[in-house]
Amino acid sequence: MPIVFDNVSYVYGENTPFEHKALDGLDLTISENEITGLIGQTGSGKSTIAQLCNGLYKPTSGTVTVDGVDINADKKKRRDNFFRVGLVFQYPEYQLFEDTVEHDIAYGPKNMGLDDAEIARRVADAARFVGLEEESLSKSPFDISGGQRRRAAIAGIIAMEPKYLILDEPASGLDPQGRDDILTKLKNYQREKGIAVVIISHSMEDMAKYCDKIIVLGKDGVYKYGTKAEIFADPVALRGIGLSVPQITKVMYKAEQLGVKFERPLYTVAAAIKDVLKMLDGEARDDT
Amino acid sequence: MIRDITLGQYFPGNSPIHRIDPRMKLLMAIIMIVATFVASSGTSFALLFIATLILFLLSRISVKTLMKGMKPIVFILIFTTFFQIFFTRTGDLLFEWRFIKIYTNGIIFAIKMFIRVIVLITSTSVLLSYTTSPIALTDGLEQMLKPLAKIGVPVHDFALIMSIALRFIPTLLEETEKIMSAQKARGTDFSTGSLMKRARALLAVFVPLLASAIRHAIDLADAMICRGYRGGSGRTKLNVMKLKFTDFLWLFAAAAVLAGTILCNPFTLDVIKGAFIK
Ligand SMILES: Nc1ncnc2c1ncn2[C@@H]1O[C@H](COP(=O)(O)OP(=O)(O)OP(=O)(O)O)[C@@H](O)[C@H]1O
Ligand SMILES: [Mg+2]
Repeated sequence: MPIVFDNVSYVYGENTPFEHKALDGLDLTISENEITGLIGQTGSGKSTIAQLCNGLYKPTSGTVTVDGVDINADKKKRRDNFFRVGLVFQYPEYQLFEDTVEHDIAYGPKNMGLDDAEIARRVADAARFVGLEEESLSKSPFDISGGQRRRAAIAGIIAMEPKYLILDEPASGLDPQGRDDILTKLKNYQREKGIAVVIISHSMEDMAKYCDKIIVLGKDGVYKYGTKAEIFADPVALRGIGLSVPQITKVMYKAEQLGVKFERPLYTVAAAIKDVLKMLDGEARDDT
Repeated sequence: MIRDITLGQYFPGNSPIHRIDPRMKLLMAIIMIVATFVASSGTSFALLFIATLILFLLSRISVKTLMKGMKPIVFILIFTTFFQIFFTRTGDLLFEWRFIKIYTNGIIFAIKMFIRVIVLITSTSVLLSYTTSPIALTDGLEQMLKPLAKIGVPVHDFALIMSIALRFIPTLLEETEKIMSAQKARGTDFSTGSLMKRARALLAVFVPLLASAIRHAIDLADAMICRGYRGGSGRTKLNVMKLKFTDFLWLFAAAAVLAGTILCNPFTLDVIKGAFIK
């Protein structure tokens, strides 16, 4: 069963001069067994949503249901929610604190009260998924590179084997190759485990490349929810809420205006290369 | 949440109190502190209480905010009041039950102590923390201490250290909150378990927090050097503080409260009486 937001509002600093309504009557659904992309302008409430999903924040009004249960109904079950809905914060590498990377990854599973053998299995598993080499596991988290630290932090959540995995801008601040690498690994992880993954990102490219469904947040609530094709069908409207379609899709629209017809809408460079090559191939054959 | 701690937090606004020059507010706060300590008669306490009430009402700070700020001292307040009531052994005996004896003076001292603490906290926090931004406060302090620079006291450096520290309090609080949330999401339990367990839970916050504080310090130092910071001499201010006529009126009012407090004390009254009778 999915994560469902029903008419959720969230107010920061209620009853202070700093009161700020971050979410107002939000309805949204995060489906199982797919990667959902959550995109929206800065300040649209993405991180707030993430923290509402696992119960770190309690909605000011409305309910958040996970697997059909209101997660804020039973205070004693709060910790269970954290384990069920794994949340990787933005810049998670700044929370590493144990003496070795291995111990840090084991921190979550240990808090779950698992036995040593199971913890060891999960740590090894998680490290493999994010691509951390054996030798960095025994190093101090302060002695490895930024990209490796990011991986270690993500592994720390993956090791808890949550049913839902939410990542707040997992690729921000990484080089292009690092971005692709980490997102690909996440996608593989999702495909292998069949869990629900939510990726929060600013990059339309990343959304197009790695997500099955996309939630676009507008000024007030969910602006649109659907597949890539549905979301990117109207670039003008997207621009209206301060977002845009992937670069390659823009190129495709331009080309279509100039009379070049593509067989299918294009959202990723890889698909575009394939189609253009096919087209060129076809033309070459026409010439001969 | 951690940010709910309001003691020492600035509430932006534009009340008459907000508009007083920070230097004057510092002086007024000092005067109020002196006044609370010299006050001893009932009249002087009433005077102080009314003066504080006026300050508070003019500042347009909500009662709720003030109460929240008082929370940390409630325990001390109750404790001292309790001590005054039960352990003062002078005056008339009011009540006796087994070993508990309550005397009139106990009650009087307790009430005075109570008003003293309330006045002290309210007046200083209304004047300084709630209505004066920390930056304005350090600026004011720096201006007031400037003469000391002549005898070699590094006033500017102290002011800089203080304003940087103040500047980073909200940042570090925010960071603490973020790190705590992140560790909670990994199942850290901050509120239950043995002392040892909780200490260990806190370690998960302190280590990243310390690392981040050091990172901030290095970044800030680099940024300051890159922008040509070279100490205090010859630096000018963007916002030059200027005293207004009303600022002096406020200072005068505070001085009047102090004078009134001293005049209302029995000791002074006796002295005055003595002078006239002679
Ligand atoms: N701790 C806080 N206290 C007060 N207001 C906050 C707090 N955190 C966020 N906000 C406000 O709530 C709104 C939503 O914030 P949120 O962090 O969820 O946005 P976001 O979509 O994640 O933005 P970004 O893309 O910049 O990460 C913003 O307007 C922000 O200013
Ligand atoms: Mg965010």
